[in-house]
Amino acid sequence: MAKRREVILAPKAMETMHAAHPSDEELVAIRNVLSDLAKSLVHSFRISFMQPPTYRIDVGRFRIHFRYDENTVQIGFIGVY
Amino acid sequence: MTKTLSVTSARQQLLKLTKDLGRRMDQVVLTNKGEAQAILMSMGEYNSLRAAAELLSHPEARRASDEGFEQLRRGEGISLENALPVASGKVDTAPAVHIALEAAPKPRTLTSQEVKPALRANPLSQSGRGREFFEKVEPMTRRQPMAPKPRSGRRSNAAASRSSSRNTG
Repeated sequence: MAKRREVILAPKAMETMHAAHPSDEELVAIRNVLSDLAKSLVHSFRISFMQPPTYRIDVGRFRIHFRYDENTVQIGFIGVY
Repeated sequence: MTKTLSVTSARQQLLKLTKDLGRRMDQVVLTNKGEAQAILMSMGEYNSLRAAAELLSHPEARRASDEGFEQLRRGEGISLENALPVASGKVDTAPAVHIALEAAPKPRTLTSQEVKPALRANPLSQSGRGREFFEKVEPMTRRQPMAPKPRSGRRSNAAASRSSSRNTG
């Protein structure tokens, strides 16, 4: 069975997400993707040149930046750019 | 690792090359008559480079991202279950809105050192250049009422003289 990591969000990520006024459907999609990140990182890709290694996953117009270690997935940014 | 291959050679092993790129994330430079013409890279590497370029062109997103990771490093993170709880199949946004409002920068009172240059720079303020502007312009607009418009159907003298000079020339 795949390892499950705890998903932790930065308050700043919540702020930038709300600044982009997500619809109910977008919120559900973001929630689902974050929940899936706890189990698998497969649809994400690394952002080149960023240290420590930072990854991105897209949910429609929203971009999610995260880092991870053995036990956690840390969400630093959810927003639109 | 970057490999260099001629287009002809790459064409013969394109399937194998594509698989290798996906596994090892390297690049293949394709040459034609000894000159580098194109580059073959995995989708993952292309996305990574594109993501970096996009982020570089949005410095505000980069700053927000850095700030977010800094908050996490300080241990200020919130678990997904607390930030976006699900209630009867729907994402409950109330805690998220509360967190977002808490995280948003609070308005603060400016010090007198900060206020003075701001007032000086503002042309509409009552001090500095703004004041001179009002003193010059306001009396003029009061003293000089607008000239009455020429009646419709009649041409003004200036217009008539313009058209006559055009006819003569």
